[in-house]
Amino acid sequence: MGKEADWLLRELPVLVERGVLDAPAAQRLREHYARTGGAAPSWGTILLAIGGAALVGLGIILIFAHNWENWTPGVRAVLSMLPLLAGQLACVHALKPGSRAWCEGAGLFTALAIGAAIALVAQTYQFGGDLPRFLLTWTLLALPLVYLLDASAVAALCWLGALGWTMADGHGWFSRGDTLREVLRLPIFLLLATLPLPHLLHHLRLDAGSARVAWLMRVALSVLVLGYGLSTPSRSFETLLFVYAGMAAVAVLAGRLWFAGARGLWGNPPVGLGLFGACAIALLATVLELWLDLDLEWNTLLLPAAALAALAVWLAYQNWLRDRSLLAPALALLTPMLFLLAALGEANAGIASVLGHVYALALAAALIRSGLSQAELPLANLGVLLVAALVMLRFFDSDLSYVLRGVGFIVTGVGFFAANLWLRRRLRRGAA
Amino acid sequence: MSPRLRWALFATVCVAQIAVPASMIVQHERTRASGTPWRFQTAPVDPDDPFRGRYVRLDFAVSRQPLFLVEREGRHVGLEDRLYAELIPDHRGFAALGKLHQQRPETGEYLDVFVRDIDYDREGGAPSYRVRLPFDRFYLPEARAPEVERAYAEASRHAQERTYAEVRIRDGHAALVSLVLDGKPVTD
Repeated sequence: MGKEADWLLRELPVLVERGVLDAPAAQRLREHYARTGGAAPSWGTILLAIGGAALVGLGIILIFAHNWENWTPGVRAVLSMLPLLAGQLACVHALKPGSRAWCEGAGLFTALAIGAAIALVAQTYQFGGDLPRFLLTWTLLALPLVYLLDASAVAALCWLGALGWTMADGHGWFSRGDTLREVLRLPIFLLLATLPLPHLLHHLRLDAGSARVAWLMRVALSVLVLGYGLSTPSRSFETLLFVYAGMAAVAVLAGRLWFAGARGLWGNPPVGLGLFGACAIALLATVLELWLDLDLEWNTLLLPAAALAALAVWLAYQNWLRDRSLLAPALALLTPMLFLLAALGEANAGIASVLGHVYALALAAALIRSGLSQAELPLANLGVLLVAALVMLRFFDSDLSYVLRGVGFIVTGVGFFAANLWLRRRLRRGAA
Repeated sequence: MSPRLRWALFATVCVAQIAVPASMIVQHERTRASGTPWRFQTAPVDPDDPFRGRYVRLDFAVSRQPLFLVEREGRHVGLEDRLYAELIPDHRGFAALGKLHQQRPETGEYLDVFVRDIDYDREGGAPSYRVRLPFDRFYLPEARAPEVERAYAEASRHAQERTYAEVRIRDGHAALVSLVLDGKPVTD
């Protein structure tokens, strides 16, 4: 990025001279690059700054948290604030037309120093432990730095803070959802997780294919999935299957629509994580015990699942208009199919499980077909992997002898290799 | 965002970041200076918290007694909810907890407490609550913590009358002043 910006800035006089750009536009470009760090530093510099700030910040927390014996409470309180003041001074430097590396490093250091200051004052003055309140205060005080400094590392820290808060507030066990505090935990978590979102959206608009956006999305999606599950009261636990199905379908379909061209499944986190989730849920839907045990009652927490399912249908339609890929309708069907199987399962769990198999195989077929037609080997491989996983799963829960199971695994493994080879040949032939 | 607005917001954020730990200090000092002194008889326990240094975990005799809400105020009380416990001295001069309130009492001495256990009456009567006190740890130099932990366990079992936490309380907020084990104060 740095080299390109340098090159562009050097080219500006030539471009103005030849009339490609007018002078005000050239000036705006110069100002833009001065603001975003002039000759923007490479990712290596930024990562070093983030890593350095994290290490120094954590080191200070450790050294200080290791009780220091020789100071009076007053001196300890001042010392607790020093890293925070140093971080704020670094932020002042970063706020001047500084570099992006300074913004990320100073932001992260200050964010960590806030937590250290509160924890150290609590220790110095013998405050009791209230972990959820501590994490919430810390996250909310760090959040403005995300926007003032455009600091993505702080955004990631705030997402982790939201996850930490919901885990600490639930005290490590799943609450039943009887009290106001338990009912409010999910909406508050979602609100907290939304707070750093405009930062991600801003960078999505700037450069959807950047590594920064990919990492922010990985953190945000992981926190959303984990936090949603941890915030859901245990009596509404069944709704998670449907909500996660909706999330997975929406993630894949939105990812394919808006980040098309991002590198592979890993480089496109919504598609990668979403497909993994959709395949896992499709596999789960084939398990007979799920439909035998599922006791789905009407619950307001099914509303998000229904809303996500509707969104997935709309996104699938947009995907279909674009590339006529079979994957779009297959994913749009995921949540409605689960609702249908839950209804059927009450009367006959066996039929629900059989239909679950039909769906899992249809999803695998759609993945292979889309992978082949769009020359995306990972997609086709995932389809084959889904079939292999389904076969293995049935081997596990059947009463076959170990020898037969062993043979079954070998056949599945060989089949997987053969299918992969066949897919590669097909793709190569397609490319030629 | 204009540079002036950005700087103004940044200054506000800096003040807020410093104000939170600073307000904790101010509240503590005010309670310590003008709060009512109380003695809480301890009960045995221990471990450590990865976020802070070493400390001795405290438990109290009053935390083990079932308490009742002064009246049902409609809101369902759950684990870790904050309640307000009336403070009364017992005949030995230790602090005892009276009725629990969901709203801050307007008169009398009280302490902020957290619900740690609920016992629902099987015959439809009022549930009883056991509470966690807000001063549940005593920080110490790392080298001394294990030794004091052992002394605490010993004294809170065998010298209960002379083992207690000295606390000052003002408007429900408590400041732990010292820990006395078998009549001897532990200094931090």
